[in-house]
Amino acid sequence: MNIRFDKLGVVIAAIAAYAAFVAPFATFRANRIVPGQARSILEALPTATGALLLVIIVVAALIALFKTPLVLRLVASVVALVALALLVGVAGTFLTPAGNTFARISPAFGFWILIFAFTLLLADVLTRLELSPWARVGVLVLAAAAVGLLLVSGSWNDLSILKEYFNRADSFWAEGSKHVTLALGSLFAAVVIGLPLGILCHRVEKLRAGVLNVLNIIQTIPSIALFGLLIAPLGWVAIHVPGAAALGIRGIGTAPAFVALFLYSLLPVVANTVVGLAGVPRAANDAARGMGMTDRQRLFGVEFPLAFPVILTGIRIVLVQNIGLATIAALIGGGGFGVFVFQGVGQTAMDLVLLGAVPTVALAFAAAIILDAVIEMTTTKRRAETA
Amino acid sequence: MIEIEGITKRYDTTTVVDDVSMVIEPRTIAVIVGTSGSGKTTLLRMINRLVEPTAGIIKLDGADNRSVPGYELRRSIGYAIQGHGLFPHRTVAQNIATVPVLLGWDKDRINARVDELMTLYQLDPQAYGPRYPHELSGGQQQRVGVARALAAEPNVLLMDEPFGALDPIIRTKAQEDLLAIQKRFGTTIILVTHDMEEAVHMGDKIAVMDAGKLVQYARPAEPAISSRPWSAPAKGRSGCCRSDGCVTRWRTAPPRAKPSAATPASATHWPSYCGRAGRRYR
Ligand SMILES: Nc1ncnc2c1ncn2[C@@H]1O[C@H](COP(=O)(O)OP(=O)(O)OP(=O)(O)O)[C@@H](O)[C@H]1O
Ligand SMILES: [Mg+2]
Repeated sequence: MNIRFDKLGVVIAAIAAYAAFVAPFATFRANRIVPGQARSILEALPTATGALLLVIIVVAALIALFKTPLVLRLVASVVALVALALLVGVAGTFLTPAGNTFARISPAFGFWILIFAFTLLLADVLTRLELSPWARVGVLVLAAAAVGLLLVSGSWNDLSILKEYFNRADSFWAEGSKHVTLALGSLFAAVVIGLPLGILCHRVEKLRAGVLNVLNIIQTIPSIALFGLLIAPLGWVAIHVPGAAALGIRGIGTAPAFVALFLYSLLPVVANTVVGLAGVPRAANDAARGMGMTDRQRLFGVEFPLAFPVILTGIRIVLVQNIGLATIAALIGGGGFGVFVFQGVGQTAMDLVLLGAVPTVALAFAAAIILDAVIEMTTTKRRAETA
Repeated sequence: MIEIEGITKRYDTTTVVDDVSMVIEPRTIAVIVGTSGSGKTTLLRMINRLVEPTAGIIKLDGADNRSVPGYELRRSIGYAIQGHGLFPHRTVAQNIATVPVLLGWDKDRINARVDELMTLYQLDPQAYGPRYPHELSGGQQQRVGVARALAAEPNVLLMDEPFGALDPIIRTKAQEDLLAIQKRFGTTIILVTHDMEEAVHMGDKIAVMDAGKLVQYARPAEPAISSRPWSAPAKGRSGCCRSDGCVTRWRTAPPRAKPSAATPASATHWPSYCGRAGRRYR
């Protein structure tokens, strides 16, 4: 028999083997801030269950290792991921001493890289299946539903990150909605201002270099420095402009965070608008004018639709970037998931850091998938520019 | 009627259209031939004001073409763009409907018109209407470009090498169709081509351009045109058309200088055109 290895599969199998047999699966701590003790898969789970998980991991890794049918690889990755997700909850319950509310069980390094390895396998399969944009969004929804189900079912309730959540359920959702508002609101503002600015830069060549350079410089200012820079002017505005304070404009808090995110968002939106409009085939513009479209009709009927995928790419960059950056807003009292991250760092409570970080990453990931799908949907129709 | 009076276009210091005057009678076809870069497209685009002339006036039925806004003017003039210029993001049907939509025709009328034109150009409306331009062959794209120019039944039609990508059979058919349309609606047409057969066949008059100048404007039957002076070789260049005797004929029947402008005879040996036009599509 001719045995052939899958290139990516070799890497995945190596990672999985290391994670399953060498790295710790879970961490046990007597309370939330003491250093933890590592537990392997067999230690963290009842013997039979632990053995079952090892078998699943080994079989899935072998399927990844060799050249196997795509469907088999799909099944292997999904089964492995589901088993890991379910059993990490079981480990939480199993490792928690009965009646002990201080002990903290958290997924450890080995668990995370197992998740990483099989997500890689799944992503590879999905890419090779060349799913349509809708199907990809569908997969995302399915995955989100599965995670939601696990959360609601309570099978993860004994994990440390959820214990942190239960202590802060109210503020979690409040900060979460602040986070999303901050990220989406600044994106929205950037689109409202950046699109016309990009169009202007496209039409007026003299403006272009100047505007893009200024935005470029803003982009290079470190975020914390930018927050700092904004405190003084916004503080001044709050004191001297009537009604500004009533609108929530202050030197610290949401206002400077919003303004900073907005400023960071401008460059990708403006630059992509300019690039997108510049990429509109000359022949199409020419035809638009030749058929008797006014400048406005040409802008909305021809230039804009043709530049749209490129502009959307800019918006995708901004959204993902903003979801991440909004974390920093907590530093100046702007709220968001960053609140948990920085509190956690302050208390050296890793679980609390994760409570802020995990949803942020998940949001950014979901935003990227959804916008990629939208971009692809708008592009396929108008693919090749004809000669 | 289209009256072109002393039209000049200069880009920086280069003059691409040089003091051209000509009159295109209503309900006739004027064909413009000339070497690549001789200013044919530029001349055409000054008629619908896609290019603003440096000097000169163009009148349509006696009215200066600057008396209405450019976009309004262009809606009333059909324009088949060199290399088709279809909108890549719009379907074939939407492309053809462009001007009628701009003019605010009602939906049924637009649909009927699109179907009619597609059928005329042998593109099944059901099969091709919903397609995007990149899903068509070059020849099909070109036919759609012509159909789009005809869509709003314009009185004046500017066509820039509209049949270049068509095979001889469809090309002949397209020419006949255009002639039929022109007869039926009395359209005034200016057509740019590199194909001399086409020029002679379609043109009531043929204009020859060289280096921005109009060097000849006459009926195909007139001696100067029928002796095909534009296929004579440039002075000092090896002639590719000597064999068919045009050089001799040119000597015996020298081309008439442009009626108005005093073009020196020495400047009127429409050079380098031989290979391309005279022979290409025989
Ligand atoms: N926007 C412009 N700026 C500068 N020069 C131009 C511009 N448009 C056209 N030209 C020049 O004007 C000259 C005439 O161009 P035009 O397109 O009218 O030629 P043409 O006779 O249509 O040629 P072809 O047969 O190749 O289509 C060319 O030398 C071209 O380089
Ligand atoms: Mg041309």
